[in-house]
Amino acid sequence: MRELIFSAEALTTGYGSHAVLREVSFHLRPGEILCLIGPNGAGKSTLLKTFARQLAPLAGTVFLAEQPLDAMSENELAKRLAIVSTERVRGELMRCEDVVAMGRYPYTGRLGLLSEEDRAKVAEAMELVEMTELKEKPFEELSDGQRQRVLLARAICQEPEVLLLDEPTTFLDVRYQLEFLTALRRLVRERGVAVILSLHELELARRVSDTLVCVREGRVDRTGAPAEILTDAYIETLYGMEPGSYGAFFGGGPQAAPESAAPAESARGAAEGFFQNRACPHFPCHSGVPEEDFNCLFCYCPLYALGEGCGGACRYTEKGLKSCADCAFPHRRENYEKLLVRYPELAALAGKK
Amino acid sequence: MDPRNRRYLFGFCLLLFLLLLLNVLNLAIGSVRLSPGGLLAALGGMGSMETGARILLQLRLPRMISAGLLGGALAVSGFLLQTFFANPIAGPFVLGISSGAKLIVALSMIFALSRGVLLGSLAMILAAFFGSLIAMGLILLISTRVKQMSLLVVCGVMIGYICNAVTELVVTFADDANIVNLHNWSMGSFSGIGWSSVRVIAVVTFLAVLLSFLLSKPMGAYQMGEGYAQSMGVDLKRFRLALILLSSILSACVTAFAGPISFVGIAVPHLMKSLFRTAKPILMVPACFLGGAVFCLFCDLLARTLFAPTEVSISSVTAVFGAPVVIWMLLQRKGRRG
Repeated sequence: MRELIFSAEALTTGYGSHAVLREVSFHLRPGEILCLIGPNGAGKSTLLKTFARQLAPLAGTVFLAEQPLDAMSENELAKRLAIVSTERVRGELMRCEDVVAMGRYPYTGRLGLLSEEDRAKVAEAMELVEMTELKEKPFEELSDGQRQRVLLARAICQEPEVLLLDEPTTFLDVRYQLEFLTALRRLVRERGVAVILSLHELELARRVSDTLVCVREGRVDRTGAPAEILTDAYIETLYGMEPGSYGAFFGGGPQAAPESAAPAESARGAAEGFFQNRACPHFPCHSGVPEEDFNCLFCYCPLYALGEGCGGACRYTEKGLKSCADCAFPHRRENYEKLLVRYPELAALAGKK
Repeated sequence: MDPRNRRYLFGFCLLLFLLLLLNVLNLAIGSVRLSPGGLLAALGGMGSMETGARILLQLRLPRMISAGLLGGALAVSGFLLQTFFANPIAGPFVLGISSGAKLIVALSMIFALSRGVLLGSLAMILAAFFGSLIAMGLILLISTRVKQMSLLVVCGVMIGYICNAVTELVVTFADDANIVNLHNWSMGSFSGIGWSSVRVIAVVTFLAVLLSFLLSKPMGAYQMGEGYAQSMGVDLKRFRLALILLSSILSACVTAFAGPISFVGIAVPHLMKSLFRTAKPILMVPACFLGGAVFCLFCDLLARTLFAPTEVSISSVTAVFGAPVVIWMLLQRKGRRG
């Protein structure tokens, strides 16, 4: 049996004295992918921040190999653990290659000058995520999918043993999601890196991960192999949906994540296109709609993939939550269906731009 | 050679050339014009040009050196603050840090003069440093509550106004003899800086700029974002403290000797980023230092020759050239986003 590379024991974490998650325990071996799933605000990002030591645990310990995380120096930790977070990267006047090269930080000298070896590692990481042709391009001009791959390359450059990814596919349309996860798989296979990531797309989680950790209501609800966990009934419990609504909408079992479904078809297949998650701390995240009609499916609004083409002022908050100021389809019960019908038109319009 | 490296080389050569040119012009031009030959003779210490030599060695040379050093210090201080706040319009002047320094220096000057003591250059720097830190503390306090950068800048400008108002008040009630001296200084000027001050300026500025240069590696990581910097092994607390202290001491040094000078801290880093097409601190710190020196030497030349024998305050000249750059930068950014 391979040794453990990363483990948490009776970990309680949160902000100030407020605990967001209690009594989290699990372990991870090299080459394994562990995926955190659960509703918005359940504490997935908080947990990842604690693993990256950006947040001190309130109780319990995190171990990297056999060593407690807080006993390691900054530089040592940076050489062994890397993170791709939801923090928006400011890449003023940086080319892709510059962003990736930043990953060599823990290995370079006082002034951060790159050696030949560093350059080779940068090139290798860009090759792995297939971004080599774009290395001279300014980072700010990249699409969301390309950015995410560049950030993955940056993390790869850090040559970590453990890689943390906080909702790495959130900004991406289905093609980029697949490309991203393919690059990730390659990384795990070729280098034996252990990965912990949080995902919203259940189908992706099912395909990519070895272990699922379900976070709900301030604790770890279940841990296990994806096939055991991802049943319709459990998904509805996890996300606080009305019984039967998940299967009805997605036609029995999560065949595809909401964003990746061909929207017009799912609209036809949808019984109602409506669910509510009243356990979500942000519920209802928009005003102007009666609470009983408030439709949480908009959290998975496919218009985000269109960017500006969506027509409203759609954006992500710092926490990576979706927030649209003047949406043409507010969160009303019946509107999700209308939106799915309109989606192909909008997508075509955005494509023309 | 890599085209980027060629651009960097060209940038530095251009800056050095301009620096040299402005040095010569600053030494030669004035109420007494000196020919290049005269300059050399005077610098060489030959006796034939006694008045010229005296003007050169006692007035123009120390003024030129201090204008260059302090201009560089101001630009580097601006660059550090922009990195810290992740905001291109942050600078010691707009955030009220220069005005805070000015207030404390004015208070200490008047207090010392009322006891019949003249403040030495080191005491001035310390007073200015203290004032900078107070204003900086206020700004940091506000920044924990105000997340929006434009609001923070507005708060900084307000702090500046308050400090200026108090300074004016203090000056109004001070003894007549002090006022002339103080008034001149609080308008901002490189005039009247003697050799002893130049020595202090040189030591403080060089040390602070050197230390800033040594911070360029963590600064580069910090430019990407706090979380990323931390995950790459930057000790955020220590790094932030170092950034604050260095930018404060640099702007304090300027305020102590030349009074508050506007816009250099914002305009020069932006010009340098455009010239070098990069924001990498390892290039930007030296480039801003040279660029700030060039910018201030140019402005000082205009300040003292434009309406000679009357001198214009250096801050008005830097504003005339600096403010349009800032407006241009804001428009450019807006364009890029929209």
